[in-house]
Amino acid sequence: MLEDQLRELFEELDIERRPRTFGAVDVIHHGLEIKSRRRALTVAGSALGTTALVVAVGFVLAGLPASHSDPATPPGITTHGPDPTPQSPVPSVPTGTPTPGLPHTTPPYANPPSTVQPSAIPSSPITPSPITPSPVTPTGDPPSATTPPTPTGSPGPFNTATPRPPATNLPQTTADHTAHHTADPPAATALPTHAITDGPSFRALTTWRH
Amino acid sequence: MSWDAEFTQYFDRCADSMRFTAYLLCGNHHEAEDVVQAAFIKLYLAGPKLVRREGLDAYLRRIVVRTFLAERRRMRWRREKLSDVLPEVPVGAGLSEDKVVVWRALSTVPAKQRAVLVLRYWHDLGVEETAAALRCSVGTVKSHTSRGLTALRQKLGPSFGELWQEVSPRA
Repeated sequence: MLEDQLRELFEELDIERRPRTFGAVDVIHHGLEIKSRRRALTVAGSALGTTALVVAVGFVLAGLPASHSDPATPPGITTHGPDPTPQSPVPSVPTGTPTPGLPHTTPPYANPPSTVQPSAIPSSPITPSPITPSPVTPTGDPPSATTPPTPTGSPGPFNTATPRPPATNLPQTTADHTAHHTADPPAATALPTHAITDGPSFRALTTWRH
Repeated sequence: MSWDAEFTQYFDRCADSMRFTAYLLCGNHHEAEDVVQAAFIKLYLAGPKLVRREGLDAYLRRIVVRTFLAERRRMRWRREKLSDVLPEVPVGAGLSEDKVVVWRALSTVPAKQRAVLVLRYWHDLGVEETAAALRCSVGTVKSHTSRGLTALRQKLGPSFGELWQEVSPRA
């Protein structure tokens, strides 16, 4: 029936042959092009993926310290930082240059350059104790003042102290510093800790601002 | 033997039969050329990964049929729309008038039913083999065969069978 006619139709159509429009070389050439395109896409895709991964890891690593730098504090409560450690204690001793032959005219102690007087703040829980001037008396011996400091000096706070700007306009010299060191080490160690730091003035400032 | 040389030999041996299968499926030579070329390129790309090379004919036939079905499926989304009224279909010059009528009626059958008819009545594949080639169930192949033949009979008209019975003994 119809199936037989279909078979006859297909057989008759198969008799007629047409010339080929492409050969195996064309197929191979086109296949190689597709292969190279796929390879290029694969390389580009992996490069993009690697770049994105590196950028993402970089962002993550860059964001980690920022999250740790802000500790969580309850809202509404302001915290005062701890007392500043005496990393650079200021010598309370005048650092005038002892000129040989001239008397020492500057006062032995100058007030720290604080704009707020500690006694002017009534609500300060900590009353800054006045700094007592150390009984430093330069020996006035020029040969001993010019001796270089020994690194094995006394471990008092004056050894790590950076000299403050002098209260007087006299320039500070190394000889002055060394003279001070060699002058009276026991007096420096006898000073109380809060007296040789900026702690009271710093605390007064923060309290006054809040 | 390298894959390129093997592929060249296989292409020279099978290209004509695959082109004719594609022609039966597509209905015109231009589309058949595209389908066969795409199928051979797929075979060339997949060839080095093939473990067994014995069933290459069936494998290539399956590629051709699936490429044809994919092209027809993709044709819906193309900007060129096919009209119901078919243009003049070029058929072989040596075909008789009844064969031309059958050929034109076959071109109106849906693609999957047409593929089932070609595989079963040209390649003489069984129901299971056709189902494997089309990646569908045996029942689907049977239903597609029945519906395809019914559509052909409707296109040819009720009197075509009687006319063919009269013409066929003389032919």
